[in-house]
Amino acid sequence: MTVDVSSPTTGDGEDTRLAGGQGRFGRAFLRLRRNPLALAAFGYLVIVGLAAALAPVITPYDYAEPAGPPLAPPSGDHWLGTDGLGRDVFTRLVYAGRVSLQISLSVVALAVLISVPLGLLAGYRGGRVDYVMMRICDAFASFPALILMLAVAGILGPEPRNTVIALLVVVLPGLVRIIRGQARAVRAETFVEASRSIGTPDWWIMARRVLPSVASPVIVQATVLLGTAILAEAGLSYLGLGTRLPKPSWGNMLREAYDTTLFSEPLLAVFPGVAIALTVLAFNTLGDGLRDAFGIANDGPKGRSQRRGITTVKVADRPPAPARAASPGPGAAAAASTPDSRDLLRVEGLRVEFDSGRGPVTVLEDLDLTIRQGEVLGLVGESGCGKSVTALAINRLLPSPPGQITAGRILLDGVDLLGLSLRQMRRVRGREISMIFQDPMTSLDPAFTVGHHLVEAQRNHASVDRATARRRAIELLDLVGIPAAARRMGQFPHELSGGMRQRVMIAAALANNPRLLIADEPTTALDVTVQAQILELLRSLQQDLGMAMLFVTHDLGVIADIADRVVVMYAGQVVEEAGVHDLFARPRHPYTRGLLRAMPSRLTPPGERLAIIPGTVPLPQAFPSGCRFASRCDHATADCARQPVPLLVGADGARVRCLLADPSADANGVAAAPLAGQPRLPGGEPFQPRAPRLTEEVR
Amino acid sequence: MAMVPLALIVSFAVFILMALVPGDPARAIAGPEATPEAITAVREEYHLDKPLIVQYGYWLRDAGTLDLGTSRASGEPVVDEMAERWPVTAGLVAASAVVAMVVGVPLGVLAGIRPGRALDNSSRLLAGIGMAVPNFVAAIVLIVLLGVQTRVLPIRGYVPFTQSPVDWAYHMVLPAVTLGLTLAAIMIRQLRAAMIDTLDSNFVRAAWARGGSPRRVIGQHALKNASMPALTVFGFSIAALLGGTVIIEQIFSLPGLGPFVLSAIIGRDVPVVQAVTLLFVLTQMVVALLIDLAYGWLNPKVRVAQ
Repeated sequence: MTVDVSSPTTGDGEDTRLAGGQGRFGRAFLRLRRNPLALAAFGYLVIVGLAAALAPVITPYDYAEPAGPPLAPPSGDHWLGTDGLGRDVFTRLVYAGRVSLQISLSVVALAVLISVPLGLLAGYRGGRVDYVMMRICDAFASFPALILMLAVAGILGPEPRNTVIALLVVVLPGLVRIIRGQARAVRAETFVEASRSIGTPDWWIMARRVLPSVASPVIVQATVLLGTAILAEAGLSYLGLGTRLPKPSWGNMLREAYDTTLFSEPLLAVFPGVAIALTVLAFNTLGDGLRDAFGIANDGPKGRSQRRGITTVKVADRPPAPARAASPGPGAAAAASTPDSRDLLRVEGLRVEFDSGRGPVTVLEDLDLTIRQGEVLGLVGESGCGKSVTALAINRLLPSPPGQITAGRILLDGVDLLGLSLRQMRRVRGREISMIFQDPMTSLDPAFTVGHHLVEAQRNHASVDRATARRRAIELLDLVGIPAAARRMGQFPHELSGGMRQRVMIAAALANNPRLLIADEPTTALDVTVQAQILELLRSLQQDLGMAMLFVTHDLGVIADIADRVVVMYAGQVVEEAGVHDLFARPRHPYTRGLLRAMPSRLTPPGERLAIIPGTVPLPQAFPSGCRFASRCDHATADCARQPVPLLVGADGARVRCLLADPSADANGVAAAPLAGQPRLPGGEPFQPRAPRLTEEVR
Repeated sequence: MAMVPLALIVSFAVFILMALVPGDPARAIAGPEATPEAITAVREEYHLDKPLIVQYGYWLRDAGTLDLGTSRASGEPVVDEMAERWPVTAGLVAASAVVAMVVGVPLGVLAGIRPGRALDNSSRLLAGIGMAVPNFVAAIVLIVLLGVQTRVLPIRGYVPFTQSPVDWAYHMVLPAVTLGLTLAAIMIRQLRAAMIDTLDSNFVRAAWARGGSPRRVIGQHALKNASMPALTVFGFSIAALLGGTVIIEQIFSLPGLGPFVLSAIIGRDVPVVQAVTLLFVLTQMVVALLIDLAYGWLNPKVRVAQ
């Protein structure tokens, strides 16, 4: 696991090159300073190191000569007492630490010196050199390390030099492997490929590019290996194959105590035992701290509880469900929020926050959506607009932490899904509301067959026997257009193409005849030809089965094909909602117009450039308080940034969040005037300008 | 099949351990008072006059017929003595592996399901201690606490399993716990990290979206996938357990291969060292093979690749 260090050039690596290599270590040091455990370990090791270095100065006695009566208890003269021969235990413990540290440091220093060139060579060169070196490493790895070490130490004889050799044999293969893996990863980076292609010599690339990137994993590994070396040296000395008496080492002190005074004076065994354990623990802790500080491997979120399978809801003043549903706003002003018997799912005032580690960040705010029975609602926007968060929040599938729903209601048949327990929510998921996801390659469990997924989907909700479930599963595979369905049942996901996997996902989603299918960018990860097939399949299934669909995508072309109504999102808010014909014919929000202009179409005159919207979606931490689109908007005025823009709703139910889309803005031509090059609907419906009568939505 | 070159490299490495011995091996075998003729005879008998690679060929051929030479200390065939001691060591390794599984698997999995909770923190503490405390230190602590102070458990001696499984188990508790502690710690860390990763994966989210129960989503989908890396580490760790028996058997006075090889190492009884090392390495390789097979069951991709 520790071999899988993250790519060195993501994020941090980028800065490293700019900062000349200093930045990474500086930042790592700052991060390490915030880790009290690692600091304590470091402090302990500094004390042990100083004591070992200054042993002749700080110890009052000779380690080999009696300094008092045998087996004296701890006292002012003998801090830790004396051993069976009357030697001062504290003195011996300090000198033993000196021996252990000397050997461990030599081993690790030599190991790094040897393994860095070898690992770089194997990883960077690859090919035969790599193959041979890795087979040798494999062979060493399959040796019981301790036996190998004992054999080497035993045959060479108990000399410090031989102990170092024996430990090296054990430590080297793993280190070579780690460096080699890192070197391979760096070699595959584009900037290294580019350097090679312009003829930069290999040695230069290795020294300037590859070496810095292996530095941090090597530092981490060396720290942990110091602990390993301490342990191994202690083991060797314990068995009489390492440091020999009378020269003390923690291992042979333990052995001496075990052999002579274990039952009468167990403390004498405890001191060296504790010294070994604490020192190894300190090296391991410091290694973990360094690993975190360098951002090499993450041990997963720490210090927080995880709630599994359902998004946490923390709505401060959630009104009882029927209260609001029964009392629509006054008059026609609340047209869009009036419950309708055709409404299947109503999302009202949804707010989602993510815990960023530095306080909550609101990623979705005041989100309203209605999906009617049997209708396809398109949800569009650029990446980072909150489309997928919305899709996941409805089924309460956002992981908590970091996600949390802090306001609003999600009403399915008038029942607020935000009030349900996991057990209750399970009866909704896959039965009332099914989902398919963006990445079919990873959304099926690689360890289970296609058939298992489909049978499970049914048996989650109904007590059907396996044979019946299998028959139905084959029907479902037929339904989604998978040929030779019966044979596919026994296949594993990796045996299917991406398009086939998405069909399996769809089949599993349809298993319980859901009333709503949430499709979260279901075609984005697929080839263009396959995209069209899957889209066609979804459209025909939706019509045949009469289910409603929430179709999330960034592709307006897809929306034009499939949706009845469209909700456009920007920076965590709904900015526009309209029927699909209306939206394409008469986009009201400047963002929607920008999206439409950026869309290629058959009607785009050849040679004409597609317009792009300058800039990017702001990060949730940086959402402005006024209009969130203002900084990218051609029409923005000083008013736009001043205060939050309300969502205005027209009599036809269309909604827009733009100050300039006010009826009075007609004169400026913003809301009504069509823009040049604006695409028409595929059907070629004539453009009918109609002044929207907008009123502020009552919320 | 990839194991054949590995087996050759490893056996060669075992073989050349002999070449590391300082001095003339023929003299060492013949004894200090041997005549030059006797030494020459030994040299011919053991093919020591041939190049190293030829010697290796002879050694390999003999090893193939289960002839691993005679112990220089006892004069007995090494294989006979190993056959007698092997059940003790194999039993200890198996018992330690069971301890590691019984302790490590549930703690690692539960810690991974709910990181940050009390159980997670205590498991991580236990894992930290397990990684840092050498097994001989743990053994001594346990002997003092349980064997000497309270006399709950026997601290030395051995009863063959075939004679009385209950007594065998009774005598195995302390050795197996001390030897299994490190592996338990490794399993906790490995499974915890793997569970955290897997529970964040897309297919787990999709399984929740189908309306799966925690038992099905966590206990089936997540656990099966998370156990793959843990299983690999477990397989690798069998080598460490085998090595660890040397110290543990010495401390608890178990008549296994540990004391046998230890005295052989100290006495430079090379055939014994070679034979025991080879047995350990081959055991490790067989375990690796079994792990590969289990892996195929867990991860169908591997099955197809084979």
